[in-house]
Amino acid sequence: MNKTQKVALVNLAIMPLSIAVMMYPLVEIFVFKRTPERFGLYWVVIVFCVVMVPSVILLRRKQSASEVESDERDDLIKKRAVIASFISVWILLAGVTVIPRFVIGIKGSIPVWLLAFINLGVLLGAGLVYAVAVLIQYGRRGKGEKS
Amino acid sequence: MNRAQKMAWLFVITISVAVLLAGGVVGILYVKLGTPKALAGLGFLGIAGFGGLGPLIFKKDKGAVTCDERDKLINRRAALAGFGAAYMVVGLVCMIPFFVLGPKANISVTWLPMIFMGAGITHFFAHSVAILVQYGRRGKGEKS
Repeated sequence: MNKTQKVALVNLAIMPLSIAVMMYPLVEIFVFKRTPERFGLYWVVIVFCVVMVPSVILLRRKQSASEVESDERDDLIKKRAVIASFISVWILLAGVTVIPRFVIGIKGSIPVWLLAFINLGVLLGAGLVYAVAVLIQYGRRGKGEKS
Repeated sequence: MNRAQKMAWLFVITISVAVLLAGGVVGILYVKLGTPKALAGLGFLGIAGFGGLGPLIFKKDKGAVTCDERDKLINRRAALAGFGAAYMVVGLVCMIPFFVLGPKANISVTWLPMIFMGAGITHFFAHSVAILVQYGRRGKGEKS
């Protein structure tokens, strides 16, 4: 498993956790109809730190001294994953900005701090798509390779 | 000037006209009629949609090479610049109300699709400007 795959795996493990933590205020407001506890709003910062620390460690750690940073195939895989991630950003952004209008109603309102969560949520979603796209491409191409 | 540059110019012109006209009309109507009616001026943003007609207006040259590796690289960089600019707008629009209005303020959900629309317009504008800047800078002094 190379560096790109390891980082993608870490992201894949932690991104859903981050999204779940971020869903907390949304569930509190729209499902339970109550204001979330203030401490819950800071969880996302903690989760971000948890994401960053293992990622940095994995990025700096090599399998061997001769391990190359990335080859042409890795670059192509990352490029495709970035495109998938970009497309997912637009789809997610369209979803989170248009759907609330139909769910809450045209005369409804949302707290402004929810905008910050929308921003971070879309970024996390894009990161998740990037990680999945990287792993799918390595997974599919790795089967049956002999050389 | 190649096809990509012509389409980029069309986007830049239509988006600029749309934004300036919409901003001006909203400003005038806000002074004269107030907030709800002033938002009707945003309808002028529809002019930006004419930029999407570029591929129909500027058709591909028959038999000629339409784009090479350099064109693809320029387009890729421009797309990246467009995405970066668009997400910067999303980030600012999402974070500024939090600091200006305060965390306890509420905003109408009707503003949310505006974020998406603003990001989209910014993306196309920045993408087009990046194409023009890259072709413009590289075109100077080329002899071959």
